[in-house]
Order: sequence, then C-alpha cells, then structure tokens
Amino acid sequence: MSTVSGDLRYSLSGQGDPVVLLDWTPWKSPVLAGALAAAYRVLSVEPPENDVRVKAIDDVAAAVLAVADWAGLGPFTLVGTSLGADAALRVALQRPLSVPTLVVISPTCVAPSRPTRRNTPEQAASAMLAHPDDSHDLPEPRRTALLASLAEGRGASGGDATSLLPALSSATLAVFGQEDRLVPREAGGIWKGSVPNCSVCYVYDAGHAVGVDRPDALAAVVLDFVERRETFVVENRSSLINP
Amino acid sequence: MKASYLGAMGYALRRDFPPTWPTPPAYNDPELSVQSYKDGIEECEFAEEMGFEWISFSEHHYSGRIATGTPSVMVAAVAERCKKARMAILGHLLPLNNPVRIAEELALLDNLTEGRLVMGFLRGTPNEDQVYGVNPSEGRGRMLEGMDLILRALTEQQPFAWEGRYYQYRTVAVWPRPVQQPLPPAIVATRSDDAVHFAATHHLGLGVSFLPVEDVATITGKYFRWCEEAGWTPQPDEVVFRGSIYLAETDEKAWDWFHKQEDQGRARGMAMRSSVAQVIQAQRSGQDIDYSHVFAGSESGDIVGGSPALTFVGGPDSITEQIRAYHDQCGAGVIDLFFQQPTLDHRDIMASIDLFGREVLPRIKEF
Repeated sequence: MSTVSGDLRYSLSGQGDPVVLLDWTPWKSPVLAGALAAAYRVLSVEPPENDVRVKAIDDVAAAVLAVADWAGLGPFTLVGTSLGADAALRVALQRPLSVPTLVVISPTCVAPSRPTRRNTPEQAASAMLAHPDDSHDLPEPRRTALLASLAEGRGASGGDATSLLPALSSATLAVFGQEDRLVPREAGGIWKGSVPNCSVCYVYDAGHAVGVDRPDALAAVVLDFVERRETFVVENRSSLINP
Repeated sequence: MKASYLGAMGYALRRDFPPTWPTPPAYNDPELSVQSYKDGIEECEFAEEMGFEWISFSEHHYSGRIATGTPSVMVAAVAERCKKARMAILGHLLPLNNPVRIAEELALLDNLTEGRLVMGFLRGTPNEDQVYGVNPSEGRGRMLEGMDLILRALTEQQPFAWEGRYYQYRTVAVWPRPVQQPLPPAIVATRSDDAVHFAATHHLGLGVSFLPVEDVATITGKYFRWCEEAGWTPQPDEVVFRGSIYLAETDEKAWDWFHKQEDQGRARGMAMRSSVAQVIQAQRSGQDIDYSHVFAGSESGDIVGGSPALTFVGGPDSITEQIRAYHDQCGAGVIDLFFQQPTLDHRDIMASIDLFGREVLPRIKEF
C-alpha cells in the first residue's frame, strides 16, 4: 500500500478481534506471530522499504494508521518489537482511541543508549542474544538476516521518547529481556513510572531478541496481556493437585 | 583474613541421633531444644566478643545437627544480641524457596541489622532435594534463575513482572529496599562451573565448602580468571571458605579426639538409603533411570553418604597454618568455621571459641 512514508507491505491472517503487529526486526518472532494469529485477526505491517531511521517516525506511525484504516479494523491491539515498538508508541499517541491495548517488546526509544557499531556478525550476536552461540540454531534466512543487518549497525532508533510516555493512555505492557544489552537497565522502570497504566515484564534468560531466546515465553506473556490487559496480574490457573 | 562463626544451633543431644537423614522429630525434647538455641546464641555472642567478624547461618532442613531451616529467623534473633559482626546467610537454598520471598527476607534483615547483612545463594546438599518437592534435575536451573530474580527484585525500583523458566510472577515490588546500596554483599556458594561463572560475571562473591585446599584452589582459580575477563577484581571478603574444625590445646590432643570419633563411627549425619541417593544423583546429572533396577539394599548395608570429614584438626599452630593455606593458595579472605562437632557439648564449644580467639584469630588477621 502506498502511504506518506512510502510503500508499506502488509498481510492479514487469523480471525477474531484485531491485532496490528509491527515486528520490524530482522530476526522476526514467528512463534509470537503464529500464536496471535491463532486467536486474533492479525494485520502484520512490514517496515517501510527504506530504513526507518531516515524517515520521521511520526510519518511512519501515520502510515501504519492509514493501513489499519484501509483494513477497516476499528480499535485494535498494537504489538511492536524493537524499532517497531518505537513506531507503535507513536501510533498509540497519535490516535489513543484506536489503540486501547499496546505491547512494546524491547523498545529502544526510552533512555536510548548510544548505538555501538558491531563490526562482525559474532559481535552482533553477542549484543542481541543472551546466548550468542545459539544463533547457529536459528533457521535460515532468519540467522543470516539477523547477523548481516546487525553488523551494519542497524537497530538504533530516533530520539528519547521518555517525555511522551505520561500522555500514553493505552493499557501498556513493556517487555524486556533480562539480559538485554542494548536497552539500559533503567528503561523498564521509566516505562512503569511514566505510563499511567503500564506493566513491565522481564523475560528471564533472554537478550534484546526476546523472540529468539525465549519465543514461547514471549508469546505466553504477550497473549495473556492481550487477552486480559492489566488484569493479567491476577493468577487464573488452578494450583489444585487432587480434587 | 577474617573469621566467621557458623551458628549451627545444633541440638544438645545430637550425638544420639541416628546416622540417617532426616532426623525424626521424636528425638526433639522441646525443653532441651529451647536450651540448645539459647546455648547456640550464646556461642555466637562469645564468638563476636572474641573477634569473629562474621556470624553465619545456613539453611538446612529436617535435622538437629544444623538446626536452622529458616536462617532469616535465626539472623533476626541473633542480630539483637550481636551488634557488631556481619550477619551472613551462607546461604539460602534457592531451588527450594520462592526467590521473591527470599528477597523480601534479605531486604528486611538488611534493615534490621542496619546494613550488616551478607547474603548467600546455595543449591543444597543432595538429601535436601527431598524437602519441598523439587525435582533434583531442575535444581541447578532453579538456582541460576533464582539468583537473577533475587538480584532484580532487590534493585528494581518499580513493580515488575517476571517470565522465567521456573518462576512466573506478575507483580514483584520488594519492600523495604536494602540498606546497603545497590546490594548487600552476596556470596554464591558453589563448586559448579556455571554458578562460579555466574558469580564472576555478576560481580558477586564466591563461597566454597569442605574441600581440600587443592580442589578449592582449582575452583577459585577459575573464578578469579572469569572475574578478570569480566573486568573486575574481587575483594578479600568476597572469597569465603567454610570448613569444619576441631581445635585443642595441642596437635596430639586434637588427633586423639579425632581418631576416637572415627572409631565410634560418628562422622555421619546426611546418610540416606542407597536407592534414594542413586536416584537423586541420576536426576541431578540428567540420566535416565530404570526404576525396575532400583532397590533398597540389604538390611545391613543400605545406608550411604555422610557428613564431610573435618577440614581443620590440630592445635593452634597447626590450625593457623592449615587456614593460611586456604588464604595463600585459594585467595580466601573469610574463613567460616563449623565448631559444633556432634560429640561436643556447649562447654566444649565455648572452650574452643575461647582458644581460637586467643591463639589463632590474632594470627590469621595478619594474613
């Protein structure tokens, strides 16, 4: 689809309440995408063909909204990963009533750290994964895409969005890898302390690429939040052993 | 070098216990139990008075030999009597417990002790895999995740959720915060490479127990190398060795006592049925188990395992040199000593602390 931000590619899958997915990472999170599509109608929007960094992030957000409008979704849950999370925040801020529920995974736009150039695929893997050696287990073409694009230093986002957070009205879940080496440790606390209705979740034994390190754990917590929003803090699984 | 007194709080008549674990509660007389804890606390007070700079406690279950299943409770009691020494929990058994509860206890104790707490993380002895229904094959994973969660819980200033492999919490917000910022000193008590590596990469201290000096040197050597690779150098207080001690006025008296114990076969305490030990070990190491081939042994020979042998035996000069070896060869800066041997009574323990404080402690402080 042609937008103010250039051509945006999208795909639709699944049935149910609408979810817009901005998984703009080279490694992708197929387990999460599949789990969402099993329960929801998922509009997956790909990033602009040119690097997002060279475009105004608000223009990119407007383009995403244009695609959602074109698809006739109405209010939707918005899920974004890394750079896609940065765009998702802008989408939710631009049109709060359209985004009652927001999930940001490994967002880099709050308290951003200075991008560090990673000269080799191995350095890239060390920066992104809790267990860099596990990158060998990634299926192609995800592995090549992850290592090649990161070696070019991709992954940095625009300016610090901290000041924007208090205006966010969506029920928000911010997910971080416990071992994330790209996002400063204090970022989770800033999200929690600044967004009026925000839950922050740390995924154990995961780096920045949570969907690579702990794909099932990521899908589980995101699905639970999408279904129950802020009430996901209430345990709903039985601990009864023998009735 | 600093000395630490292990407050084992052993039951007075522990010499009468069977060699097996667990010790049936029938062996506990409540009146004598109360006195045993009073004696144990008095020993801690006296150790502090004699110059021990740490008083330590350890979580062990279902036995009156080390009768501190809930070490946080013990620290709270002893800290009211010992006002100078650091209170060290070496450590909590992470696989058995809720890590968030441990974090809450540690933070509260650091407040109650006004910043004198040392925290420690431990997997536990094989017999303790039976305590709270934890699968032995998951113990190591639970310990590694538990450490990460506790450190996050003690340092995070906003409520958070945790999506782990073994633990899932949707709201964690530990109150109060520790007095010592960002964290109280932390010791990872282990012999295993993965936990040693965790300690090194997370800038935590290391504790090793009951091994010969050569084996401890191998472990601490790895630790120091991994710390260097992680860009930091541990301070002396961050390397702790725990050993059992029997100190007498002379070497001859000490060894006479020791041989008498051996003759009487009193060195046990954690023994269990061979079939149970076999299965625990298999599960810990991830082996498949064919239960059709697991049987209890004969009536006479079914019990295996026992307490570690004594680490330090001798008169003051010998003990000083034995401890020096752990300092010089292993880099240990704190020596944590278990005085409460099974056949010793309260008066014997007090005499040992007195002798150690007069004849050994001043010398090891010079290391």
